Amino acid sequence: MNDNSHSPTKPNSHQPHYVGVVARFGSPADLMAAARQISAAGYRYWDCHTPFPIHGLDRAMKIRPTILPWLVAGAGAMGALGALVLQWWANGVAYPLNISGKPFFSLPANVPIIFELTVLFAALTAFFGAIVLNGLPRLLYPGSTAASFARVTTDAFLVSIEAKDPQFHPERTAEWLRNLGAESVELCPAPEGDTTIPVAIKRGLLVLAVLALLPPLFIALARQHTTETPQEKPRIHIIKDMDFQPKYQTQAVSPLFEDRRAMRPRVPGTVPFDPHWEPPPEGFLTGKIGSDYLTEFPIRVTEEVMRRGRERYDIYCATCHGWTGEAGPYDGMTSRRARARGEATWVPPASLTGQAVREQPVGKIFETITQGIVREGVYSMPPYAVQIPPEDRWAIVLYVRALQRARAPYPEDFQEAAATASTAGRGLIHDEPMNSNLAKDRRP
Amino acid sequence: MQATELMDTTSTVQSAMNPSTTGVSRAPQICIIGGAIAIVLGFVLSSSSPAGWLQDYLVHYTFLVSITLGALFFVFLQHLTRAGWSVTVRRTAELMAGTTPMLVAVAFLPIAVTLFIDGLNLYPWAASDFFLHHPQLRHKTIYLNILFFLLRAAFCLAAWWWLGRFYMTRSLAQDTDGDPRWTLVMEKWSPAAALLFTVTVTLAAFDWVMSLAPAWYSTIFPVYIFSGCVVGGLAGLILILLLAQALGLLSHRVVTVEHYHDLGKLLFGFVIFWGYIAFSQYMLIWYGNIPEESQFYLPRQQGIWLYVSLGLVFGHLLIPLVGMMPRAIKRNPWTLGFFAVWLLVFHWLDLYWLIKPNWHPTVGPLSLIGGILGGVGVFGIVIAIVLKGLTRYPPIPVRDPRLNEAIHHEVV
Repeated sequence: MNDNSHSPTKPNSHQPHYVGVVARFGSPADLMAAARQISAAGYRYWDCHTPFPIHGLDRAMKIRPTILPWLVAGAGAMGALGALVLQWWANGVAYPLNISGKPFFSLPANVPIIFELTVLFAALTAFFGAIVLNGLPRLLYPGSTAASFARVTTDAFLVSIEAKDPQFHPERTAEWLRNLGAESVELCPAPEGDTTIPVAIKRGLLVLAVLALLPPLFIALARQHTTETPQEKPRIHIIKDMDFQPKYQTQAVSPLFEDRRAMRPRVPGTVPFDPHWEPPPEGFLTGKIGSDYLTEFPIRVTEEVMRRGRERYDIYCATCHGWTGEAGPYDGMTSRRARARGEATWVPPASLTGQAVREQPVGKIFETITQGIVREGVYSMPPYAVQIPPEDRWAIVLYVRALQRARAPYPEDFQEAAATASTAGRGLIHDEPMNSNLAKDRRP
Repeated sequence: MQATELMDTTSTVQSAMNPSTTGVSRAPQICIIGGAIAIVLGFVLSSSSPAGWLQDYLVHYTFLVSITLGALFFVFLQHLTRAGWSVTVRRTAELMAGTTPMLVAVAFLPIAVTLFIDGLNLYPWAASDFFLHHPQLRHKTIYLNILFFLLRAAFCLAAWWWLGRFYMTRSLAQDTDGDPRWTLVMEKWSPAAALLFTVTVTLAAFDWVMSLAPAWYSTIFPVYIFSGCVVGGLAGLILILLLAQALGLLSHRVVTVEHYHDLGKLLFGFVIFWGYIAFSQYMLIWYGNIPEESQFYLPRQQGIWLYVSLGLVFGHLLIPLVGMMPRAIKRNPWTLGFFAVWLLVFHWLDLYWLIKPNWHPTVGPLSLIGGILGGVGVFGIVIAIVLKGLTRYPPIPVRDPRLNEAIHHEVV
């Protein structure tokens, strides 16, 4: 830069020689006094530089309170609201799954996410807001070319005034600072040479930015498929979710034990925990006596069992079979999603209310829940013996029977429905003791 | 600069040493008489049976213990962190923790004695036939028996007595000889104090409050009690400091708005901590939904207790969370004092909510008002004891090596 490059219309032709002025003061008290004078004189682009925070300097400099707290509060509120809406939409509207009988949208379960997102949004806003509001990153501060600036982290108490301040005038401002008691005053020359970022670095950054986009692009392509073009292989798992767990599968081998079985047998001499335990009725645990399936329930059928069955069904079965047990468009969320993603390995659930399952004896349905269904060596329905105790499995069978009968009622059900319609306000489950027909395994 | 600052400190300390004590001498007596009247009136209002009085007594007792424990925590925390800012408010906390242990120990006696009286006994497991009717809890007899219970109580009370006296006497000794070694001694023992404090608070929380429901399980419970202790202790400390300054016992030049701001921030932080712990306990129990855990919340979600529970959610967490957030609120003695009183009331209500529903599926407004009155009385007695201490001893640690830093403390 030289004098010729300046526009002649600029009132102060000296200005471009210097980017600012730095004054050094002898003590925090002198600096504080000077700061009061400078802020009173109406300077705008100036700052103090000290090796440690000096109490009261903010007030002396008349620094206005920052708006950052409001930004942080706003971001925190947005985080809270966003988390609430996200969970309401995901769990309550878009993908309703019954988790252990809890309501789809339930505040206690949502509070941790609300809390975390509030903190995250607020913290990120505080961090980046402070950086942005401070005008960072700033690779070159005008005052930093002064020689005294080298001591600013040890023992120098400095004031810098930038040349872009409307009141700045190299000689006059320097003289004025000297009169304020500065020990030394330095005018900071503009750094020599070209201060813009070299073109090579700009191009390099651009190339890096493009390269950084490639991995997500490949991932997006690999995950790209629809119902029309189902993939042969399972999709790429970027996040493992819980699909791959470091755990032993049923019947797996473990080097840890002498007999190499990962499943541990019962400890000899184990007795039931429940002191009132009685041996269950025959077929209670398997659903069959000998090789014959039970056709009657081995438990007492009550309204309470039916309610329990509905609750357990909604938790364990409805996720695939749907709330009504019908196949097709009324499948559960898991099945619908698998269809939507075109999962090749997914076997759609059978209709529980269709002819095939309706004709199965209760013992057979119980056995299916207990053992699952194996097709071509793979479980197309997993066994539920581990998750659901036998009495709950029977309760589910009972509820499945109720679903079937709701789909294909007996003639007397219509009469009963007509009778109850007049005494309005009856729910799905009747208040009177269970119809004995339901308990029996009657095939339509 | 350093020299002028030190001279400034000296004159400040001298003015702090000779406070204008007009009208102060009677303040402790007024507090103690007023407190006693409030407690008696509270008992009369809340119940007409000895069993009811004893239940209220337990609430008030845990309230007293929690405030002194909160102050004790504050004292050793300052040494643990080598804090300089808090020196001028530390003496008040030392007095709260160091002059009350005798009251805390003596006041435990009614609870100990009634353990042996079957009709009055507060703790169901202490009844002679309890484990006969609850065979599923029989494995707890090794822990829940009267002898071991009293041994643990004696251990806790002795530990708190010793800890409170330890910090108070060392700090007072430094007032006399000005030896910085005392500071090092107090710092050196603060990690051990923290451990002892943790163990004793855990024991007391399990024994005195949680064992009222011996069939209930919650491992986070002592942390819950601890968080309440710190809220109560800090709110009490702020209130007593404000009161001592209003009475002229503590110079405005040594305890400034900067100290209140920092105390307010600590209190605010522990209000959130309380909410965090309370919700952690609630959410896990709500999610698990098994009887041995949910039996605690079931009675507290019915009748008037539901409103008390909601009152705690709002009064002990949400309202102070929003209300105490602005900087200006914590820097104004009136608004900070308001929240200190507010949180003391809700801290008392928290203990009431923990203890009372063990017997009462519902509670009348009169009994609640009586209870709160009793809590006010208990705090009045704490005020009296601490104010008395502030007139007897130097109200700040006058020769603490970090005193200068504390007096010139400024929140950046």
